[in-house]
Amino acid sequence: MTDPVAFLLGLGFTVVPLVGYLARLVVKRRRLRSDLARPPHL
Amino acid sequence: MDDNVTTPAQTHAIGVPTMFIRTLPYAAVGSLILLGLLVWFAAPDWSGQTDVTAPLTRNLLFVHPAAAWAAFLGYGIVFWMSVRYLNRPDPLVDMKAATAAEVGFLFNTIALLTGTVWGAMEWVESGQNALATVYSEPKVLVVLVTWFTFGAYLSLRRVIDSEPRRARLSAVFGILGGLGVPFSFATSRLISTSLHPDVAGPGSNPDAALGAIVGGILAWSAVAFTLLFLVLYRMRLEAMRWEDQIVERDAAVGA
Repeated sequence: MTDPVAFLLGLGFTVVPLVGYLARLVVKRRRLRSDLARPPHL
Repeated sequence: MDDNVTTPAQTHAIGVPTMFIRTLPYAAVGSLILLGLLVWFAAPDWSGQTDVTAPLTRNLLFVHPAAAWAAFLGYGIVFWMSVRYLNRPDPLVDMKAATAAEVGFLFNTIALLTGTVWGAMEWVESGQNALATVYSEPKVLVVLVTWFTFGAYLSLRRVIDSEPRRARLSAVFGILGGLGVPFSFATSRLISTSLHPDVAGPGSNPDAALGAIVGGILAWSAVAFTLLFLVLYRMRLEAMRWEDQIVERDAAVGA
């Protein structure tokens, strides 16, 4: 593994999990917010 | 009343002043941008140093320790909330522990992945197995065990339906997992075969001294990742409370 590849890999291992988690969280929050606004399920 | 007007007495549902909560995402994004600029413009050119084998990868110094710090902050919160829950059971305290564990686990994963790449470049000599070399290092081993413990903690929460039982068992797991944090700090100081340098505190290695600029950027990376941790923690905790509210509301209607 060369130095630039390792650096990009390290950067990717930081950005991808963070962005992935944040995106999932935003989608989940949007769904929950619309669920809260809907009348309750029977 | 204008929504943007806050009084000192006004606090958010999770007990933090609303003004602080509102500015937190902007502060996190701003501090991450500043970190990027500092690394780009102020960090030294590592290729000029004789002991650096991978100059570009050395810049992970401004990501890897900060991610580990954010993970340990999360695990510290889990430990404290777990003790509090066992002392006086409260669903909100359990929720805070679960949130901190989830976000801490995310940062722990980042710290392990970036550390593996960095360690493979700096520690491994030709002919050695990279993964075996990195994961036989005492501190990495302790952090890996802590990662598995919190992985089990999060899995445990998914499989137990009874809320009090889940919270009690999670609290025990949270305390056990939280012990990984002081163990991790101790390994590089107590075990001589540790490849992690001690850069701060009593007994630190003078050869590993960072200098003012690198030390400053490193400290800033810890600030930026702490703010990022707090943003994710707050967003996840709020979502968890909404989930709870929906379940309670539906149960009340169905009853």
